[in-house]
Amino acid sequence: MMDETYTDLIVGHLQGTLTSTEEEQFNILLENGRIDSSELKQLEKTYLEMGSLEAPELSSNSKLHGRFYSMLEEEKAAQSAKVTSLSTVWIQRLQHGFSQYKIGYAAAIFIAGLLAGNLFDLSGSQNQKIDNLTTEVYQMREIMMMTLLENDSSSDRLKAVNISSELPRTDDRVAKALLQTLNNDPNVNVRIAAVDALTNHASNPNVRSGMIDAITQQESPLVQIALADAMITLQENGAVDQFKKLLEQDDMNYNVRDKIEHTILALN
Amino acid sequence: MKTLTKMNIMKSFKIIPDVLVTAFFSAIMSLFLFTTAEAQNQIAVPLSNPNQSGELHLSMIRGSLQVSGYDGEEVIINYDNGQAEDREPENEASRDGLRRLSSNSLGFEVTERENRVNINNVSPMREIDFDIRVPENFSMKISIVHGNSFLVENVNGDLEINHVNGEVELTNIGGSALVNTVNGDIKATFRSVAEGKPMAFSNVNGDIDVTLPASANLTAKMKSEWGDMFTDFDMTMQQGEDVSRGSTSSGGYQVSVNNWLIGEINGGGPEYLFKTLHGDIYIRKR
Repeated sequence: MMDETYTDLIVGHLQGTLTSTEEEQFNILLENGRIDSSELKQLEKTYLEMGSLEAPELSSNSKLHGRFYSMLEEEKAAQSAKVTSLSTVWIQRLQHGFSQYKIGYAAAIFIAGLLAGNLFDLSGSQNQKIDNLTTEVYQMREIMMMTLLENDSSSDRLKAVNISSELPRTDDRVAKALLQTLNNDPNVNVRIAAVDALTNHASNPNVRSGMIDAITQQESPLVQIALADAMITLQENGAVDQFKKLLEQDDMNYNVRDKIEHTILALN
Repeated sequence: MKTLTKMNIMKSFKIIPDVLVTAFFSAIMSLFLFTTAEAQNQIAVPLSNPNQSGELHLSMIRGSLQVSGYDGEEVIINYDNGQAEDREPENEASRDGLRRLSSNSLGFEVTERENRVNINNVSPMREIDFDIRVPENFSMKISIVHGNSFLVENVNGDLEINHVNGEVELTNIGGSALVNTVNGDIKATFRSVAEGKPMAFSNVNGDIDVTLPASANLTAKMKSEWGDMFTDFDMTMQQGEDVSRGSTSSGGYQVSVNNWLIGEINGGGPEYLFKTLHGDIYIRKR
């Protein structure tokens, strides 16, 4: 294969554009064998054949060009015609197909939807409904509690006291009923449960004073102990005097006395 | 008492065999005397509506009590009030040549209304031992102050026991119970528990030992100030906070307030209260 660096020289030689020095150089290279003579001959032949190739006529070329553009124009016109027909159909449909009544209906339904959505809005009236239901449940529980508290069965009254812990702690009636249970219920266990339930209502000042007053009224050591526990939990210093009064009793159980003395110390 | 007399016979037989006959006669005599004094008196109370559940109300100051469920339709009250007359000085047969008129020799009064049997006006001055049989489906409300022994067994109903000095034993019970005593253990075994009904067991001195069916649903609320609590149930504890509060003003004295221990058994249920000051709490699986 011929060295590519000599391509220019060969081409120049074939075209006859070489200077005398270049021609000399070319001849030396040819003699040296750097440029293969047989290859040169082949190239020469190819060059000559290229020159004899028929060039396309310019006239036919322009004709083709013209035809292309005319076709393009035709196509463009056709396309735009289609688009305009489509859009006009749509507009026509909008104008005739949807009458003003129908648009009115749609608007009315939309507004109705908005109103309905507003009615069932979770953040608004729905919450209030839930609140109402909750208060209804509380009311029912309260009625149930009050009814059970009237029952002859101590087991039912104990149940009532236990229900009270599921009621809101601000309820005055519940607190009042529990205080009454503490002071009057014939069963000791029900009274113990009442003391515990009342501790939850201690934010109510009436409950606190009621519990303090109950200390000296209670004969059962079990309830006295329960009240002592409650007073320590509530850190109710006001109960100290009542407990001291309680200690004045002579026939007091030794362990209860011990417990009450500890309670007084803890409250001081 | 009867065995005691028999032992007397034995003794006399060994020690002074020569006066065997005399001893034998005296033994016979004393036996006779004891039986009359100890005579197990019986009152059978028919119910207005047999085969329906009933209620027993009893309130007494001193004595012993045993109530047993049985397969029958009447309430049978066996009682023994014999020793009281010997002890009470007021019960003289005569005074200043005047004959004593027999007062309420029974020492109590029994009424029945709509299957509710009341034993009222039990004399506080007498020590009466009751052994009562009731139909199985019987609830009861019993209050007693000084009990030598106290046992309720084999009944199905709601029991309300109010004791002061003495232990309470409930055996093979179906239903529910509210038990409190001041001095004495509480021991209760349930063969079944009433659904949805709360229970309570509280005392000051003594253990609380309750055995429940393995499938019972309940929420146990427990507190023992000086004792421990034990169970073999799987209990889900709700809270176990022990609050300690010190009293600085009284020279470093400190009291610890251990709040209620609340545990759910079998997913929780009605509240069962267990409270004692000096005693342990045992909740056992049957």
